Amino acid sequence: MKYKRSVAGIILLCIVSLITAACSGKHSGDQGKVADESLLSSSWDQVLAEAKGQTVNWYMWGGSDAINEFVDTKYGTLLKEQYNITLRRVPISDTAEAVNKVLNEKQAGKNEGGSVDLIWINGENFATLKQADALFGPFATKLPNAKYVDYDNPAVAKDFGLETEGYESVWGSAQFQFVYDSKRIQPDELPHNYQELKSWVKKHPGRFTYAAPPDFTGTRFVKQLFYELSGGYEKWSKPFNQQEFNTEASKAWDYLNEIKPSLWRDGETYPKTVAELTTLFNNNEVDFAFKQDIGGIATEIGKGKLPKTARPYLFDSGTIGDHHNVAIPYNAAHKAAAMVVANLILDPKLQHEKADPTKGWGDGIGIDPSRLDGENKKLFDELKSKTRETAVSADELLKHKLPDIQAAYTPALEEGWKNHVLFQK
Amino acid sequence: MFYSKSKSIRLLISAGMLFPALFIVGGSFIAGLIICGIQSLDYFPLIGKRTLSLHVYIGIFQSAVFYRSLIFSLGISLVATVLAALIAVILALWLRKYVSQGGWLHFLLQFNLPIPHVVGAIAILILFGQSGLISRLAYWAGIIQQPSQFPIWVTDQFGIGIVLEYVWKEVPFIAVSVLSILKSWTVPYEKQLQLLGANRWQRWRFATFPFMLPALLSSSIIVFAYTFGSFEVPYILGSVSMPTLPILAYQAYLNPDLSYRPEAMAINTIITIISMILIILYIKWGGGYAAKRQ
Repeated sequence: MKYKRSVAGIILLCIVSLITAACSGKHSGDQGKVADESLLSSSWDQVLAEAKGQTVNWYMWGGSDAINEFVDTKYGTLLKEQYNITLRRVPISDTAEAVNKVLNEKQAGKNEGGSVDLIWINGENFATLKQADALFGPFATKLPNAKYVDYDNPAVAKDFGLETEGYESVWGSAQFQFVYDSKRIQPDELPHNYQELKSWVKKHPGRFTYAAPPDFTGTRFVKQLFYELSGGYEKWSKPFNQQEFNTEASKAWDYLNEIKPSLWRDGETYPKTVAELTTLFNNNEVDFAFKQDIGGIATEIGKGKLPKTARPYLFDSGTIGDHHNVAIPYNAAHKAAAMVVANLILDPKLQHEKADPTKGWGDGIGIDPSRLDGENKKLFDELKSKTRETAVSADELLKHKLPDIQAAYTPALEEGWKNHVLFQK
Repeated sequence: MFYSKSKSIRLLISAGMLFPALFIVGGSFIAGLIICGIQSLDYFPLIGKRTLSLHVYIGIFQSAVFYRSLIFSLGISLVATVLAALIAVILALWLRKYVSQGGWLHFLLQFNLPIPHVVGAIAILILFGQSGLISRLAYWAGIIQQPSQFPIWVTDQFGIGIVLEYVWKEVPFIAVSVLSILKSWTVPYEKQLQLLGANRWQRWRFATFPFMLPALLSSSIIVFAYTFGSFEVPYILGSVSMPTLPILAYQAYLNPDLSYRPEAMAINTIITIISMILIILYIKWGGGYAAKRQ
């Protein structure tokens, strides 16, 4: 009896707590909207003044030591010294984690003082936040350094086929490349398209695998295959059509299922991330790794993260390249400081250092070098001539560059891969 | 002055004192459950979904991947719990003789309790992976010539690595709770039985085992419920093609297409319901037994 009554008491208390908790969440977002508009219409000096003393929580993929180090030491120091802004890099393994954080705050009615100030973003994650109307902007063209960015270039103005409309600001560019070890494979043995890859894999069972989608590079690997088997990327620049997609995608699934028995561990499992794939490559378990940095792999080799004899190369049938961006959530607590960061990372000197494999990590540039003059222009010309065997030349990259597909195809390919390849016995 | 003779006032006072803690723990917990439940019914105003429907559950209960994953999750938890319980009992029975001799044994037994599961999982990965430490030693000793010749213990299809980690981590947990019962409760009863002429088996059958059972059961149920709902260990040590239920939920949750969100919440709800059933069992067998004895 006594037992029952105390249980009832606890349940009652829980309900009361719940109701009180549920009622405290609502807050009007109108005030925030007004502040946003005044920030977007104010001069850059006013933005700088407001940003002073703020801390920027920058959510970004944390899977590369070279990137983390560059962001912390280079950007972090400059922001502190020049603008009195503290940079807090928040590492995540998937951009969707930051997206979900913003969406959860939006659902809970937290329209101000959100915990995410800046997100390293592109593609379908940008599409998701835009779909949910959860981005601050348009701010990109308001940045002083936006004058170095070529917004007339569709590759910059669009992200996975979606107009960015100033809701994200470009940071750098990347292009998919394969990495092999020249000590293990002679260059003339390398496969140069997916058909050749198939025969290579069958000839060398257990020596190839790819990162499982939704890993970014893994999805790219599948996308490029999809392009090649369906007759080129040109076909897919239109809005998503399920039926047409299914017909063409089934060719890709057949291909992947055909090579599956000859993959690493018989294709019964795949590395979860590109970092795991690189580890397999380094341990001599597989013969190919993937890379995105336009400046090549000199940074990794220098840090001992790849063998000295590793070399990047491309498929003749082309690989996907794109720009990556930063965006500010609609409820970010420190929007002014986030804008300062977005502006700083476009600075020509910093863009150059980031692209230099010895100082940064060989990331592709986000700005247009033809808009520079004097000292800055010289820097980029030098960088171009510095390309060595640890990087695919810029012309070669450009010649074989494929655009990324419309945002809606990415989840469809990821789901399709899971259902038709991964879980297919 | 906090205590009144009236039972109902006493209850009220203790309830009032519990309120702040319950407000935070219970409030957020139940609110989370309710939000999760509602979203699993396809209610998601953020993308304009305001009608309730069961179609996500219907889809899940028709999907082969879900059942495979459910059985795999249950299987891993069951094997890990049974193995951990067995080893823990043997360990506890063996150690009880030595415990009085000093704290160091107890310390050794408990040393891995504060280590997070993630760390344990990574340690297993580094030790038992195909290019892990043991594999490298085997290569150095000339037993294997290639990493692929080393047996597959992590990211395997049967969850060997996952079970290994759970057993390593949970044996001390069960052993400590069993040992504390063995140390304090059973000794006088066993002595009594011995005086009455009971042999070893009879002492085990009538005193040791019945006393140990509630602690063993309740800690085993905790271990089972934990391993069933845990995410990080199967994420690190599991195979991509053999996801456990929490990983299925995580993948759906991370899908940038927001229409997958209800699926994640529905799987979470199913995990929660199974865990609730385990809690009821725990109260019935573990807590209930203890209450009866008192």
